Amino acid sequence: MAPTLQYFLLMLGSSLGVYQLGAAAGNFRGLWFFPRLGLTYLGGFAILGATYIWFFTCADLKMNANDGEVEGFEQLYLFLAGAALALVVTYLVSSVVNYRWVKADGDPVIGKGLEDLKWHTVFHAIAYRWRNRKRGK
Amino acid sequence: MTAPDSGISEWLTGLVGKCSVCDHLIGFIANDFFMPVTMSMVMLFLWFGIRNPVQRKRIHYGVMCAAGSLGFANLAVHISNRVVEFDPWARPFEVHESAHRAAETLFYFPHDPSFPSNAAACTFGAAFGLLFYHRKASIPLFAIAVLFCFSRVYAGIHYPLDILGGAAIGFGIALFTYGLMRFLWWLPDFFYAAARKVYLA
Repeated sequence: MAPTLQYFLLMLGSSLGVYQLGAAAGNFRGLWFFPRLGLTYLGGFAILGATYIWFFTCADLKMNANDGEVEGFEQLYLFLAGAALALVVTYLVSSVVNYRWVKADGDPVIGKGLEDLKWHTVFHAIAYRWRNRKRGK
Repeated sequence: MTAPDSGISEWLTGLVGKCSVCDHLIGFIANDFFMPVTMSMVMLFLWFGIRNPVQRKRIHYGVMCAAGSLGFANLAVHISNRVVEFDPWARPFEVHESAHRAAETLFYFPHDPSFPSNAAACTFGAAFGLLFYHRKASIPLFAIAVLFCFSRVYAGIHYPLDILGGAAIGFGIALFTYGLMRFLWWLPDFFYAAARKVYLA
């Protein structure tokens, strides 16, 4: 596997795990992949740990970051790409998994950005915001 | 020319080979991936992992400052190495036999100048950037920076002075980034508002 692809997958996998850990610590239930807090922590650690173990046992750790293997700026954009894709995956999966858990018209805390995700999934929050905009609220 | 503190480097790299567990561990810490990736992951975790909205907002601005400092520090070292071509002394592994053996065992032989340490500038830049907004949250970043930089000296890649120089650049750049964020206050505010729209802040 190409070193750049390996590095991208490292960023993608570890970001996915860290988003779960962050969502658990911040109590953003709308981002959880798992039904309980403990499971979300466990799942986050498992995703992060598995990705780290895979990368750091498979990759050539002595590859020279300045010699065209995975250069410094390449590391930056691969990190940004991996973290962004992981965020999209987190939004999609958590919205599907938690579809039945929240009511779109439930808690009124909407319009406060990330805070909304304590009681809503991303899809619900967007749908709620969109409906209110159409109603002119 | 050798660095004034080359004796410390010679002594420290002389320890390589005496404890294989320590060598494996420090070699693992020294590589180009483990600590930088872990530092990024700590910042991502801090972005989402705070329950209190007021504290979280401070951390978000701190992480923006840390990320900006990291980028500017990288650029500053790049300018020093490639544009100004400031290269006061050779790498430790080019001068001392023990450092050569250490670098061969634990790392590889980089070609860019020894001073200042890019690793120190970037990691300390990020840590100081976060420190200006949230003292407690910056502790893990400082721990990562110290471990990473120590491992680079142990691996015969840098002299302690390279690390100190890099850390000083990191501090200066973080201060500059903090000032820039205060002066151009509308820019981080704009990013924050945009992030709120997509449930990132």
